[in-house]
Amino acid sequence: MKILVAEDEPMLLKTIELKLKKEEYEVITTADGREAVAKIEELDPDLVITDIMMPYVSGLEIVAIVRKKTNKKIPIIILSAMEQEKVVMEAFELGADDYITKPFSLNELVIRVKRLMSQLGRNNPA
Amino acid sequence: MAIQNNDNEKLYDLSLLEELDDKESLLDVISLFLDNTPGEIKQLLEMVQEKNWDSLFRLAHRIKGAVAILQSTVIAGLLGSIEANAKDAKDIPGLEKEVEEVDQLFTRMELQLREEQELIRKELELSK
Repeated sequence: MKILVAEDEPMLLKTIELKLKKEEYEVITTADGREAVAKIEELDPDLVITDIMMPYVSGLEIVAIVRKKTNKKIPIIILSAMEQEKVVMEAFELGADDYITKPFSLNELVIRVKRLMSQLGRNNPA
Repeated sequence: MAIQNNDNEKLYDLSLLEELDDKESLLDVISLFLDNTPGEIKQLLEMVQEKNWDSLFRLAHRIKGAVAILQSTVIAGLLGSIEANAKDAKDIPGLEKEVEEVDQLFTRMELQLREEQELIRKELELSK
């Protein structure tokens, strides 16, 4: 199972990547919203995790683009900061599936990933 | 925001990062933080000097995410306030003071984290 993670803070990006790899997911990373969109189109991930405030293309725009361009239902988890509740609502309206507020538990993130995967009948990471 | 904490108080908590479940990964992410973030804190100071509020807003937001997962609530709170003020270019004197406070607190946290980094390295060497 492939997960694309878009986050422009290097330590957070690496942390999420390491945790998901331990769970045996294949992880594609990017620190740039424009590159995230290109990689989603090119590599067809099973799930996307994206920060809201990203360079060039925001997390909200990523949600909108994915929902507009692909027929496949790719679950999207938004990473938000505490003061971004309104933006999270907007993300849900655009088609995001879940959100998690920074700082977050890595174990909780994994649970949310597994829950979304299982809703789509995709239970095994490999 | 008034800062009140004594010099010996630990300015971070690694419990969220310890959910990586191994010391090597923990060392990797702490090292990445220590490689990148001190330079970014200096950039915050430069952005204040240059009155580059939009860049200051964006960089404060980004650093806040990393500092928050280290559970450094005082520094994350200051960065949140800097982010909010820089977004609207308001309370400039307060904003300048907060950036200086972040710089001072971060210097302390960086020293503490470098000590922790060394301890983890030693633990790893002993376990090999």
